[in-house]
Amino acid sequence: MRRFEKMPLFARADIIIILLVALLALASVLFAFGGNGSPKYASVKLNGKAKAEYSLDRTGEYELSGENGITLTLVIEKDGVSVRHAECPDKLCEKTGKISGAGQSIICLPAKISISLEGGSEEIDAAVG
Amino acid sequence: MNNSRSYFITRCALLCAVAVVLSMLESMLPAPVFLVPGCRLGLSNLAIIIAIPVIGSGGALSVALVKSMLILITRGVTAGVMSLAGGMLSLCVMILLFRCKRFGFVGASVAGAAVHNTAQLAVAALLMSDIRVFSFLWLYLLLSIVTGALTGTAAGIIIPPLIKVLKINDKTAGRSG
Repeated sequence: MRRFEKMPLFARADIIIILLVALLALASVLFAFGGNGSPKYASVKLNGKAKAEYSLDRTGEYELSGENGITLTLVIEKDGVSVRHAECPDKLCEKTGKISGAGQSIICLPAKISISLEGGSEEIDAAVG
Repeated sequence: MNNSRSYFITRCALLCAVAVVLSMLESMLPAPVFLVPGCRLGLSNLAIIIAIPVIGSGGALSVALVKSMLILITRGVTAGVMSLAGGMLSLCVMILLFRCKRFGFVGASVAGAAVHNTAQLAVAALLMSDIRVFSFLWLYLLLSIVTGALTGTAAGIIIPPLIKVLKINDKTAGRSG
């Protein structure tokens, strides 16, 4: 057990770890905001499967029903897409607010719905599973 | 009389209790609005960091398992699986960094927190079959530097005197140490 008593609070090698994590954070910023072209349509996925696509040319409100009996309202406006009246307990998708760049998304985990803007210049097009 | 064994079990139980209390305190904090549900900051990692030197890797594993089981029961399957994946992976990384002897408490703790958060997001991405969940990753990685530094500093302050006290305790109980 003795070596733990001598373990420093902060060693020089710790800087490498922190820099590495910061670097990864920077790389994932590029992943999150890389494709900020002007999107053409909002793609709605339920449980990872594409369910519907809404053109951004027409504004309107659409009712989406997700898993666990949760429904939410998708609002399409000229300057972006947002979610209103989500019935999930945490309302995280409502709080995400309006998204406008391609590749950005609103996610509702309880309903297993994800809404993403696609058709921009740099489209991220990959799915897990 | 098997004093050292009962001491070990008592210490495991105490650290489990600390882990559960910390994770409850953490869930009482207002979650930042944009975070993926089920993902937490990882302050309860502190109990697991303390567990590694005090009750060994095996003991720390049991603390992490108990914590994830309790989250599974209280917060549902999604949060439970996320906590389990994050907890196991971050524990492995932290044990390796502790063994390496080159890193301090802050470094091990930051790495543990970063792995914890990344694993949680990976599970969320798998559950939702949507890789876009990773667009939150940058935020979680930055947060893990902050919380990792916090828990690492706390661990670095707590652990050395704690080990000294426990050693004296072990000696008076007739354990060779």
